[in-house]
Amino acid sequence: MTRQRSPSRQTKLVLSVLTVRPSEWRYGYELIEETGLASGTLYPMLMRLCDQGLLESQWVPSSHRGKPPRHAYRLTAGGLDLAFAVADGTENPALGQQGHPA
Amino acid sequence: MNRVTKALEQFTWHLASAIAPRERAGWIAAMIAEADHIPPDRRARFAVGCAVAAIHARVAAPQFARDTLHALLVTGGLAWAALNIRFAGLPVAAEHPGMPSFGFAMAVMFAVGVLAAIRRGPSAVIVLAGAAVLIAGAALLAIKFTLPATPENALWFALLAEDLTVLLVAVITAAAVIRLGKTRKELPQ
Repeated sequence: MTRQRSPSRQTKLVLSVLTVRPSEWRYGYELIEETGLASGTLYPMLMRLCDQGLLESQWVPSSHRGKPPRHAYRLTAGGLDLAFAVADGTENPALGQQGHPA
Repeated sequence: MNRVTKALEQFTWHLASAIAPRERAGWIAAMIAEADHIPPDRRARFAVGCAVAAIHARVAAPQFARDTLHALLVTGGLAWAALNIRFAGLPVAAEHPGMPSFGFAMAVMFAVGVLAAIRRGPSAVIVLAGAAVLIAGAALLAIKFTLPATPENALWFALLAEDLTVLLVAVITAAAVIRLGKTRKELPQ
């Protein structure tokens, strides 16, 4: 049985930022800038969200010439469900179920 | 950015790569790539944060808990063997026939258990310690119910109870090591 915990304040913050333009791929530094979180807080969270299938990631070519590709992130359908449920305060961590936005 | 800061930053990236568990190597590569897109004056702080993330990933990995428990099993077994040798040399042991030999025998048994843990893994510890638990338990019951309540028998009882406790802890620890190993296999790579 998978134990579900209520998302932390920082996770809620990241989820809320990722729901602003949910179809866009977002970069790690961009998320750091928007949330004010340190990289040491953000990246473990991103890893965990990816492990839980709430976030997807991919390498995207850099828009800057001569710069290496960047790792980008966006919420999966499940991640979006959770993000909206968290925003509504309807997530049910004990059952691992999230409410859907109206 | 001066050369010292640049060198420290590079060192931090090497550190993060070394600390992170193998299954998180892709994440460290992602952080290193991201650093190239960060203003130079903020890169060092970003790198330190990523080293923290690598430590977090290492500690959170089931392998870390498994290895730590396995190390505890080995060091604990060696420590108990050493304490048994120390006891065998004490005057209180020399006063009672058989006690020094018992101390040395227990030390040898725990040393064998440590070797088994290193060479054969925690399942061998469970087999060996499990058998020893049965023997020690039977001996305890025999002392309690068949022998007269003398100070010497009370000392034997206390010695066996101590060893039985340590053996039970070893069995539980070995079982936890096995269980954590299974948890790791179930995780997606």
